[in-house]
Amino acid sequence: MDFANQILGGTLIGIGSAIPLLMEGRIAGISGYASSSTRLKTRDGRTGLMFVLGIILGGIIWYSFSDHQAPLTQEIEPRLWLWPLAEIAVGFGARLAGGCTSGHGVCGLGRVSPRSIVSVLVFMSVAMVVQFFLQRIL
Amino acid sequence: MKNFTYFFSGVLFAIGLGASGMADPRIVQNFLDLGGKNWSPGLLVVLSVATLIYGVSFLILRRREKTFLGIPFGHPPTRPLNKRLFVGSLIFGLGWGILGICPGPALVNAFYLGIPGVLFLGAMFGGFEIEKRLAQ
Repeated sequence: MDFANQILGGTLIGIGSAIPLLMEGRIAGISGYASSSTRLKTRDGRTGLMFVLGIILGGIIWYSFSDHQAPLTQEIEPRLWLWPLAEIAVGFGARLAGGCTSGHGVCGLGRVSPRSIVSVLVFMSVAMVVQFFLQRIL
Repeated sequence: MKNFTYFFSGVLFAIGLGASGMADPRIVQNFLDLGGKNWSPGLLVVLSVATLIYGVSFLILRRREKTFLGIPFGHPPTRPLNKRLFVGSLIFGLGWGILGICPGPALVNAFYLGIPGVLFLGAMFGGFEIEKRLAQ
């Protein structure tokens, strides 16, 4: 198997996560930036919003210059009633746990934080069980 | 300048998600479906590379004790393992497992999944707000 794309992409994700740390000493993942981005009266809110806008623009750049086709909603999950449930759970759970795939994943594992190691093991196992049920049983 | 730092980081992060395939929920679902016919360890490769770069950056900062903009950098406080962490990770895993979309890909795909993608991004921000209200 050839993992060139994964290594290149992982490098960009690592650099994008590390720049705010190296420059500002800020430890945060996407859910941290995104959830603070609605609090524009605070400094973290304004920088969080800039990060969020950067991600959205980066997505537009990526889809404009690559030949990768965005998936159809039907291909992701045709039962549309599951969508809002899934995302409320993602937002709520990430804030309660204090991080998501990037905050506990990249940043937390990078710091070898025990909380993050536990969090990643829990959410990844749960997500695997959910996919098993959705794909094989339901 | 500070705002640009965060903006630029976000752009790099998003292109990384796209290039690695991790912005595509189908690829994430295939990874989560252990033993499935399309299973690939790609997500672990991406996570490992990104974590390694972040980890090295963290070690450099700890040694320098200040950031490259001269801001003092101490050891971040360690918080205990608690119920919030377990319950939050469990709920996050349930949501992530259903669609294979975590907050990064939700933003990268904001304009590319049609109306469900937009509503869905709104639902994620709704989830953030519910947690903030309950925490108060």
